[in-house]
Amino acid sequence: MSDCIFSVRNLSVTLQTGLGLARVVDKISFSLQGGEILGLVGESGCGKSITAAALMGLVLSPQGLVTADQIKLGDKNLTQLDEASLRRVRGSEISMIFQEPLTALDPVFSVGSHLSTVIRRHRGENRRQALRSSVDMLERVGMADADRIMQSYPHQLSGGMRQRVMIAMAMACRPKVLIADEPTTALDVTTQAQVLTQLSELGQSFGTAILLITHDLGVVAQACDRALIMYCGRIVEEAPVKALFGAPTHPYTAGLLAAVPRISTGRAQRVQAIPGLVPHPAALSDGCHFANRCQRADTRCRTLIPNMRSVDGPTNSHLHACHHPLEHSCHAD
Amino acid sequence: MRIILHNIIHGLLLILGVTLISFLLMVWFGPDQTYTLIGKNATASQIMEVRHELNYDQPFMRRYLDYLVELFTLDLGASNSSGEQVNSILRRTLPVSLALMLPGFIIGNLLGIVLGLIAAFRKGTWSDRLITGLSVTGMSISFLIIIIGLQVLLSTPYGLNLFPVRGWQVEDLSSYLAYVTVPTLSLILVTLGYNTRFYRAVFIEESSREHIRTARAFGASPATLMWRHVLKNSLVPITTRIMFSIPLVVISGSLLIESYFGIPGIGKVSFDAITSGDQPILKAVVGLTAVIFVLIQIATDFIYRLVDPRIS
Amino acid sequence: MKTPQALTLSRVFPANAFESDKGRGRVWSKLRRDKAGLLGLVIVTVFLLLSLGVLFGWLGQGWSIADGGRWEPMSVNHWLGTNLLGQDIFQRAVFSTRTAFEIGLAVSLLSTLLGALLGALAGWYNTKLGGNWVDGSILWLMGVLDSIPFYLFVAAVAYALQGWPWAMHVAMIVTFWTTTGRLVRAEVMRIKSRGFVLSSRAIGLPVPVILIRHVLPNTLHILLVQASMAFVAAIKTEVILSFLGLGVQDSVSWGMMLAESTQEVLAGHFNNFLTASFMLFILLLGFNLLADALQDAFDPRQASL
Repeated sequence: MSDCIFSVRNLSVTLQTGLGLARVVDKISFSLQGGEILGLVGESGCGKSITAAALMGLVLSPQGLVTADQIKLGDKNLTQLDEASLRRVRGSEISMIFQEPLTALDPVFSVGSHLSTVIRRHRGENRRQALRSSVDMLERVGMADADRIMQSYPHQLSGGMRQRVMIAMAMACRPKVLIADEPTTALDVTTQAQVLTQLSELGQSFGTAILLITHDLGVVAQACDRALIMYCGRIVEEAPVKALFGAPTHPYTAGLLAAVPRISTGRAQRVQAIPGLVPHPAALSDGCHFANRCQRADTRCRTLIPNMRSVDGPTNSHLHACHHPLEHSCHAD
Repeated sequence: MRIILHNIIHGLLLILGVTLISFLLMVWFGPDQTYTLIGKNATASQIMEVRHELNYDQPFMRRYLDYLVELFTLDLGASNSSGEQVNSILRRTLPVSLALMLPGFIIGNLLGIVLGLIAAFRKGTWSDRLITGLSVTGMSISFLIIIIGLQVLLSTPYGLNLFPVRGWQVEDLSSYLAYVTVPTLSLILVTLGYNTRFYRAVFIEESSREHIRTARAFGASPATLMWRHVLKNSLVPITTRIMFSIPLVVISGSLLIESYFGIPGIGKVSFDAITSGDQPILKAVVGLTAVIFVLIQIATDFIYRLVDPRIS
Repeated sequence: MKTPQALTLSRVFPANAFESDKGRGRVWSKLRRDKAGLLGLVIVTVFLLLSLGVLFGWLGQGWSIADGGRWEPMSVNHWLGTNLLGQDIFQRAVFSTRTAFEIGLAVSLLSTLLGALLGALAGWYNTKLGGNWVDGSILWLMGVLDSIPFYLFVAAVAYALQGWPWAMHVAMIVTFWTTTGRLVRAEVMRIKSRGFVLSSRAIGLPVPVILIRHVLPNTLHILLVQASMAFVAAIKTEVILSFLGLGVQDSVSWGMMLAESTQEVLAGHFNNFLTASFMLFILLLGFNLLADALQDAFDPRQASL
């Protein structure tokens, strides 16, 4: 737990929705170290993407209100920066890649223009240097004929190539933190694996911490070191990936894992869906939001919000927020 | 190659349609000139003679085909009323209309784009509300009210009395400016509301695209977002609007302005031709407008290719 | 975290994930909260009542009586003075409300109807590959009508049908429908593949029934907005046509009053001009505000195209 590069304390986001105000992100806290990959996992609509937007400072004031005690990036506290300073940080120290690279890239600009603009803006290079750095970056993400790609427009590339261009853009300034919002959801499975490998290699060599947002537990297992499980805007469990898969303690996490089809055990097992639906964020109850879908819930769960508590004692690497956690006789490690 | 062929066939069909409909309306059902040419007390043989000269005794298809031949050979004949060659009338009036309408057309669109950008950029703030409010107000004022109002305010002793009331005695730059100012201001005022609204909507649509969010996530400033990303992505609808309104503004817009201010341009000439039944002029104006429309369509297709790499 | 005030460019992103219900009730409640839209509705209602008053013979009946001197100033007898012929300007302005609604309603209803029918037919018979002859010819007709300079066309129709009091109306209807037609065509192409349309095709309903019962009602939001815009366009066009001498006959309209005033203002008589301008402006503003509010209520994202 040495070099904490990014730490967030009590981040909340309130949005104006059709049904009134909704707190879609509720006091979440976490921290990241250089080179590690932290998964942020949850069903669609649980607040993952809005968390990413809030961290980047992209939630706009009339529609959404963002509060946080602290968002610390290196030695900067992002909550105290003005918009102009934030712009200097965005794309250079904290960067982001998106789910759908076709719509996320500007259709009327070439790949070279996308890359060199970012490089010139943040690294202050001149046009020629920036073009050369762009080609370097493209080669770094495994593009064979970078010179041709530079001239191409987004619609001329395949999905995997577009996402690599996005990664090249996002990593061009060697950011401290990269937020990857469902980066592989729009890709087919083989490309998905390549892109994930690329991401983690670049993260390792640049010392970039990656917050990998996904709904896919397979992606978490494949790429992440640790993971946060999010439900209705709250973090319900935080654990190293091995502990999470081996010994989930929050009933929701356990439910998610049971919903993943497995073929490892000889005979086919029935996939178990979590009963009920995710409630609308403007209509959340008091207490634990998962209570009305949880078989273990009692009156305490419905009235009192459970706090994050350590599962594994002083190591403090496995935490959950549950009044009635699942017990595991032999905890992993 | 297939696209060019498609364009040509499409264009020919359009020209056929436009000429057919306008020929039917303006020539076949248009005013009969027999009596204006020879007076009320003509003998039957005189009437026959004049009608034959005007081709009134020919069947419809024959007259229509003759017209098409005239149009494509640019052999447009002479005006019935003045005897002047139609080609020379067009050469005389078209430059006047262009000189009269273009400044207002260009300024009106540029201002609309700038105001639309500001409004879209500050969507929901008071400056957006002010701009959209003024646009709606502008859209609610009739062209005629604007012309009369500006004329009274700028050209009469009841107002500033700075410019000539009407007419078009243009010899040099200063007289040009004197005569063109009030019509130009009218044209800007009457189109600005519509232009601003249109461009604002286009810019808002474009600024809600995901790649704008990406640009923001990479530290682009608001100015960069608007001028670089939003404006460049909006070039297709902007091109469409500007290109296709050229013939309409030059002919339709000039019709009112020229009639009001007594300016001898193409609009006034065509309106006079409608009311007097001067068929050679009408046929020429309508036919040429259709041809220009087709040319503009082809030019617009070409511009699309320049501004949007996805179109090829 | 800072929440930047100035930059309000894009929607907050997945916020619209919660935006699912789009029922009639929501439209109405949005409309009720739109102050500008309500103002527009009030204006239009007041003018509508005025025009009904004229229609039933309670108001403005003395519009053609020339019992005053030429260009009399405001007085007890003639509240807003008289025109060149000694006719009462106030009475003429009030009577013109009826003319405006006659033209506006006839043109907006019929042109919207025509646009809805032809647009729906074109959209229905559109095939993604190439095209069907119905779609092709309707598109061709729209292209042709849009390529004829508008005032020239209207003037030509008005002239060709001269003497017939509805010439001007017909001219406007024939040219105004194309915009509605294009919008409806696009919308029909979109809803054609939806479940409720597919199912009514599957049970073998005839095409006209599907179009009228199931498809067109779903384009109502376009039709309402287009109808109110056509109303505005019709009244504005009437002014121009009246100035050109092709407007209403044996009646009076704000356009006729403005046309009269073009000569008067140079001699310093502004009553006709100001009265007609004011009435015209307020009614058009009312309709424009209403059209805006309708558009916003039906489709907040596509506001004011």
